[in-house]
Amino acid sequence: MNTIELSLTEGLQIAVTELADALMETGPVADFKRAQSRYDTDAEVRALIDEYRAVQVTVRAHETDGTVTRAEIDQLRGLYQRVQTQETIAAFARSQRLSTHYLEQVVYELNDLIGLDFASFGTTASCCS
Amino acid sequence: MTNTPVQTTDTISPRIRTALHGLAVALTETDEFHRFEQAGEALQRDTSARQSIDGLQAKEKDLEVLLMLDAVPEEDRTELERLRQAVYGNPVIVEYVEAQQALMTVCQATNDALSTRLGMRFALKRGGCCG
Repeated sequence: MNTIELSLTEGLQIAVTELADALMETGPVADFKRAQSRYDTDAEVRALIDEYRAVQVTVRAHETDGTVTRAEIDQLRGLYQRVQTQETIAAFARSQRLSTHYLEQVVYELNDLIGLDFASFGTTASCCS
Repeated sequence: MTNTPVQTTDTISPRIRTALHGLAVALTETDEFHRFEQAGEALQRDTSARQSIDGLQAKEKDLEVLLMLDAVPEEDRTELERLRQAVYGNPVIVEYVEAQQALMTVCQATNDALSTRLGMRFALKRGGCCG
């Protein structure tokens, strides 16, 4: 249990745990966690992203000193296309979008239950302060 | 109080819906929630307090550009200060603001706890909260 949860009532701590467990075990958030795990542990993905970043750094440096070549730009574009179409990366990005949208729906339902906008009350930044 | 229009969906599973109800009950049973509800009701009943808020908001809107440019004439500045004192010196309004802040602290802690457990933000604010 962390400091944040210690500041919650026991009832809230239990409710938070139950909702978080339910979200992580079923539906789009669970799908996202699985896709994230595959993304984090896929050696091919890591190698592809590392290669893309390295070439990107080289191209930027060569653009700055005016020595960038057509081949380097083509290599970067080719790697970008591979990143975009790589199955694990695409699944990770898609599941992230879906889980974010799903959580918005969950929060809408919470708003209805408690009669106020939880996101406005529950996020640190306040335009009214 | 702002309340986002409800978008009902049938994609939320019964287990999650049950857990969500549990969270709603736990939130609405907190002292902070009760205090905010009572403060809101007191503010609704207090015509004078609401008139003070309306008066200040109208004046601030009227002087919006001049306030932005820090070019409010002395006479208006004095009037603005009088209106602000009327609002922030009103105990019903002060209680409402403090109750709101206390409830926000609870909601933020709840949101942070959920977000930490999920490894992603649970609730994200979209757009302004004062509109």
